[in-house]
Amino acid sequence: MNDSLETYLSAALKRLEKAAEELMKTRGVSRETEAVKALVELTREQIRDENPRHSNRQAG
Amino acid sequence: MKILVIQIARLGDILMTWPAMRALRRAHPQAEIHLLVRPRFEAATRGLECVDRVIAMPSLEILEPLARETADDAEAIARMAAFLGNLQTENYDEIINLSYSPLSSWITKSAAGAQTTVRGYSRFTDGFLNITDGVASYFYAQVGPGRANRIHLTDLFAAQMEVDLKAEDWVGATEQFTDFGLPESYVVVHPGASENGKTVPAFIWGRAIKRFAELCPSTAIVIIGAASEAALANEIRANAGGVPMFDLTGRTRFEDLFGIIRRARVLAGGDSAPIHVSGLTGTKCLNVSIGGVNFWETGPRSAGSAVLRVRGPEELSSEAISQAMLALHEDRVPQGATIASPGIPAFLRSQAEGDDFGWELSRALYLDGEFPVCDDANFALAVQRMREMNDVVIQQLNELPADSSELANFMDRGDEVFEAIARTVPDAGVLVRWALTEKSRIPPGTRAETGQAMERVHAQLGKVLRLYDIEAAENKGAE
Repeated sequence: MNDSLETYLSAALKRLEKAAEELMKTRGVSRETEAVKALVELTREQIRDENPRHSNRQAG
Repeated sequence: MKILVIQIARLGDILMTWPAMRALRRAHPQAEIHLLVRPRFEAATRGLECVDRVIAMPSLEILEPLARETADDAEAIARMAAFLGNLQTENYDEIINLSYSPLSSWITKSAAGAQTTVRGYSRFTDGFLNITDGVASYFYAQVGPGRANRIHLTDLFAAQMEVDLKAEDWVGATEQFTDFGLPESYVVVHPGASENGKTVPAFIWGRAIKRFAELCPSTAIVIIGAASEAALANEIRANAGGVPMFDLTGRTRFEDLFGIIRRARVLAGGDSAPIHVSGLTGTKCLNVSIGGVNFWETGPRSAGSAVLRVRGPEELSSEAISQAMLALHEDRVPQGATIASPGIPAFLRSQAEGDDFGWELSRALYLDGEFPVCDDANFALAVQRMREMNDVVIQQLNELPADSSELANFMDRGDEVFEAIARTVPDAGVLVRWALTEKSRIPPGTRAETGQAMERVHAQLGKVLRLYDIEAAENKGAE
């Protein structure tokens, strides 16, 4: 991934994580929350070029 | 009945899903089966005739607004919502998530309706990860690099789908392939790898090919790979001492790999997709596996295949690779290699690798196997510490109010202690991860309900710990 794209996506990830947190507080798991949360994870995968299968994340 | 299978991991994962998809079709002959994949790996679904519809997740389209100079978060969210909305309108009866990732868990949660049966990772109503069943629980706790799992992903995927695999499920694509004018007898070499650090250096491949050609002059060499691997192929040719080769790097469609590998005597390659193609075509495969890849999970499955496992490229020998290729070509067992076997586990453990306590312990916990004997002092000490901690946790769960912050803090500290023990004694990690995963599966509820559920998990853990602690006590008494 080129540096500028990574910069854009990294900045976006921070914004989206904040938005997701706010949505969880105010609306719980709504359709909008699901979309934002999914977008957060998609963005995170793209930045890290992670193996999307091995998920060792803790619950939550 | 309408079923969605989510496989948004990598190319190799899609190929390893093929047998289970066929078994799923056999179990549900009338069902409409959809398969969700990443668009760049969509080619790996061609020839999988048991799938009615392949859905390519529009990842780049969704992310595009975020990559603009003036980002448009709302547009990206709207695109993701539209994608999820399309899945919701399908009203799936069953969703099987084989991707085991945070992203796939949210997709599953969103796509599932109130009546949808979900298998794999999803989300609870409070947003926490929902590990829906025992197979997913095993995957979460015991599968991955450095872990004790010995079950191949193909078998795990089948277990997740609750289907049984048969020999007829291991079939590759059968459509017409490009004729590259290959000779009657050849071996295929795929020198590329899916990740950096998993690649055998080009000069080693080159020398191995040169040596193989000396040993087996009547068998041709075919190199395959993506266009991006052309430089690697050139370097191999330069190191192969003028051995003639059919260099198909960058010239093949994905589907062509089935035809090329099916007719090959042997496929030799690193940890990447073609070894899974060989599993479907029944072609013997020499897998040169480097570093932390757990070949038990992702190694070649065709009969007669073998894995040459090394910690790093510095341990590789072109002579060893060429001799292993020759051995497979002559239907012999390569020296120093781990051999593929049918069933579970998918590879025979060599004598040199010692015991496999962690795997046997996993089998006891998840598959009702016998609890293995352990005479390792470190494990005995770990069990002792865990038992002490576990007893205190149960006591606190009984004594402290369920809604007290003191209890919540104590539980967190207790988990940290268990995790520290797991880091120090890897075999104890099997027990720790089992217990912590079971706790994370507790659904949202009242504090009292959650507390009671946690107590049940710790009680189960206590039973296993007492088993090994008794053993330790007996051993001590016997001394």
